[in-house]
Order: sequence, then C-alpha cells, then structure tokens
Amino acid sequence: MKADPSIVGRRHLVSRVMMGLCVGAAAISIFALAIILWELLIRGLSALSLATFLESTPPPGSKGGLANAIVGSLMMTGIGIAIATPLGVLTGSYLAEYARKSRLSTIIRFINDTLLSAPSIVIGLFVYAVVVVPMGHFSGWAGGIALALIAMPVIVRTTEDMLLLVPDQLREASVALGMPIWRAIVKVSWRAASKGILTGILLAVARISGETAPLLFTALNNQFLTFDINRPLPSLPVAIFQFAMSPYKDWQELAWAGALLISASVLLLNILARTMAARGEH
Amino acid sequence: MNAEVTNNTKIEVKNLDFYYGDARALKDVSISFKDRMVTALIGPSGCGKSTLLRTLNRICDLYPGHRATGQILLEGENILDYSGDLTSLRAKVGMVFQKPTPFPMSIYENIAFPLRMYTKLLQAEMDEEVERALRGAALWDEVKDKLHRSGLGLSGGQQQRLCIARAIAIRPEVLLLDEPASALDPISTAQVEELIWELRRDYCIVIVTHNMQQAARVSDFVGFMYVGELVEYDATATMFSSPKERRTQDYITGRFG
Repeated sequence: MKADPSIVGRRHLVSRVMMGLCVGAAAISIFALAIILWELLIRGLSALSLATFLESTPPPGSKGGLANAIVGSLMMTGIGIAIATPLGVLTGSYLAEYARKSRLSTIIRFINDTLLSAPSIVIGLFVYAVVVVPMGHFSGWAGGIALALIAMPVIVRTTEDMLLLVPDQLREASVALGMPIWRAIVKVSWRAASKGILTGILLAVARISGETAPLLFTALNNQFLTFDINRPLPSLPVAIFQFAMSPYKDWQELAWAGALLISASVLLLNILARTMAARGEH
Repeated sequence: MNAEVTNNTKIEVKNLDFYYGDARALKDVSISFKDRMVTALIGPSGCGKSTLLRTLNRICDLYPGHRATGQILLEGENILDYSGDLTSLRAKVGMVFQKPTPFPMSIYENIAFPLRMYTKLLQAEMDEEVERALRGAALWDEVKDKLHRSGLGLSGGQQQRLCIARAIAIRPEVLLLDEPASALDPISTAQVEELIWELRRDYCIVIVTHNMQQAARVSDFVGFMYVGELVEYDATATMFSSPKERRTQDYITGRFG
C-alpha cells in the first residue's frame, strides 16, 4: 500500500518536534552542569595555592589553607570505608550466595534499600544519639561511623548485584570439584566479581567524601590540624559549609578551593571506577 | 565384549525418585553404570537425564527443595545417605558441564587451585600434576607455552578440555559429562569425543547428550529416558539397531523429541 503523503508529512513533523524536545532538554541539563563546573573552576583555581594544602583554616581576615580539613576528610572517609567494606561485602555475599530467596534475605534487602535512600542528616542524627551522646563529645570516630552507615548500603547493593552476574554454573563447577561453599565464594565468585565489587567500593568513597550533613553533629569541626580521632575533626564539606556562608572574603575563597578539591576527587574516583568496570574481566 | 564386563558395576541406582519441590522429575529409575565404560543417557529435553546425572554427585543439594529418594550405590555405599562431608564424594565423582566453566584465573591455576585442596605438593610436583592433567585432556601441546595466561582467553573447545583436565586432575573415579560438546563447533566436538574415548580406559563415564550420533559414537551402553522414566537400557549397538520399546525406536529414528 502506498502511504498518503499527508500522513507521511505529519509523521516527519512529529518526529522532528520530538527530537527537538529531546535535544533541547539534554542541552539545558548539560548547560546547567557546564555553568556549575565553569564557575567552580574559575573561582576554585584562583583561590587554590600551595598554602591551601599546607596551612590550616585561618581566623577571619587572615590567609590560610585547608590542610586540617583535608586530613580530617581523608581520615574519616578512611574509617568509614574500612568499616563499611567488610560489612558490606559480607552482607552482599550472604544475600547473593547463601540466602538468595530466604525470608531473612528479603528483609535485609528491604532494610538495605531503605538505608540506601535515607536522608544523610537522619543518619547524622542517629549517630549523634548513639555515639556522640554516650561518649560525651564530638569525635572523628562518630564522623567515620556516620560515613560508614552511608557507604555500607551502597557496597551491599553493588556486591550482591555483581555476584548475581557470576553464572551459577561456575559455582556448580567449584562445588563439583569438592570445594566447600565458603571456598567457592572466596576463590571463585569473589574473584569473578572482583572488579565490580571494587568499583562499588570506589563509588561509595566518592559518595561519602562529599557528605556534609552527617558530619555536622558527629565530627563537628576543628580549626586546627589534628590526627587524634577522639577529638572533633574538621572536614572539607563542613569547612565549605562554614566558610561559604561567612561574610569574609578570604573564607569564601577557601570555600571555593575546597569545593573544587572535592569535585575533582569525586570526578577522579568516578573515572577510575568506570575504567575499571569497562576493562571488565581480564 | 559386553558379556565379560557385566559385573564390574561402579554405580548402581535403585528405585530413584527425584523431586523439584512437588514436581516429580525421576520416577523409580534403576540403572547401573559400569567401570571403564561410557554410558550415554539420551532422551528429549526435560526427560530427567541431567537430573539423574546431578544426583550422582549430589550437586542438586545446592538448591533448597530438591530431594532424592531411593538408593545410589557407589561401590556398595549409598551416596544418598552421606550425611557428612559431600566434598569427599565430589572428589570421587567429577563433573563437566554443558558450557565451559573455566575459573577466572590462569590455565595453570585452574588446575593447581583445586588440587591444593587435597594435597600438599612442592612446586615441581605440582608442575608435573598440571602437565599430567593437561596431557590427559589432550590440551598440553596447545597451552604449554601460555600456562600463566587467563583460562578465559582459550577457545570454547580448549576451555572445555581445560575443564576436563581440571576434573581429572584430582583423580576421580567417575566422570559425569552433561552435554559436554553441545556448545562446541564440530572440530572441537570431535576432539572432545576422542578424548572421552581415551578417558574411558581409566574412568566410569556417564554422558548426557542430545546428539544421537554422538551417543552411538562414544558410548558402550545407552539409557533412553522419557518423562522421568528410564524406558530402555542396553548395549549401544543393540539399542540403535534393534530397540525393544516402541518409544525408543520413535525417538531414535527422529519421530519425536
């Protein structure tokens, strides 16, 4: 049948309008992102100097850097990931390997998904109540624990997803050789899924390194460089929060420098995670 | 030739029933598998061939709700009664799957790593064992120069022979092959079939296959299964030339299945 030219014409018109809408929407969102990055680069780069890495946060009206905040962030992110990784990987393994369809695993999965989307300020409040109050003071431990609670569900989820991609035949082949199940998990399943699991951990690092809310009333802040985890610790996001809202120009500039640092490291982690995922298995 | 070997039974299956939850997948199956012989299980999809095979090393135990009743005597011992260590049973009964399942590690490690679960070997002894297994699976000449490369880089046929090498490395007594050549091209298939014929000298082999010609080529005995029952069992030549059952004849001649 030969199509009526008016139908064909209409079809082309609709097609063009639809494509125009999609391109327009994409352009707007990319434009917004570009402005943010541009502003960040211009303001951040001009504020960035060697002193940013060497000197601690200054009192208003004088020069200084973000060294204490950088160190605090690294320490608390480290604590958070060190707690969240074993718990997350083992929980994900339980869900994917031992109890795929059990009642308990359904409950764990539901709770984990809830935790995954819980507002981070709620987690900060929770850690304040169960860690800060009993200890009697703010501390790096409390901050690290709050970050761990945010990282853990991410790691649980990616570990489970990645292990489910490992074909069951590989598990059967391991068991058919007389391997105990725990050994099949450690030596074969984890190995087959190692890149994916590691990617998940890196994404969790990226996620928590920019978190502000859970640190506000757990780690609080500190104007001085310290390596004592028992004391209140400064962090980049909290420093940005404090400085950006201040009326002092020096502080505002430091806030921009900090924002650039966080964005750059998150970007770097994401690129690292992506290249690792893209390289796939072997 | 068959008359003189009838009493070297390795595995004796008696009145085996198998359930996937409530569904009965095997109905009162009784069959014996002889040592140093190849027994082929044929039949249409879903007839229970693979299920039967998977009870012989109790790999079916991995899944909750799978249940077998009856008796499977491996040299007189009922493996369905094994309450404790299934790993020792599986060390005796090796298995190769439809799709090649190399582990994500080097060719060498694919064989060495399962071996280490059973014995402590010096490096030189381990090298020897790996070579023995690879030679046994007719793969040595193709991989001897790249032992430390990933097993995943091999072709499908090579991967399958690597899996066979891995299975025989731990010196089992029985080899279960679940459609080992169905994912391979004709040349690789021929190599694997040749290998099965070689391995027949040392092992009791049970092979599930959809390919009638393959069953005729590699097996000494054939069991024909249909909807969970063992319909007929006989020496391969007899089975393919003069089957007793109508259903067997229909299946072999391609009338259904």
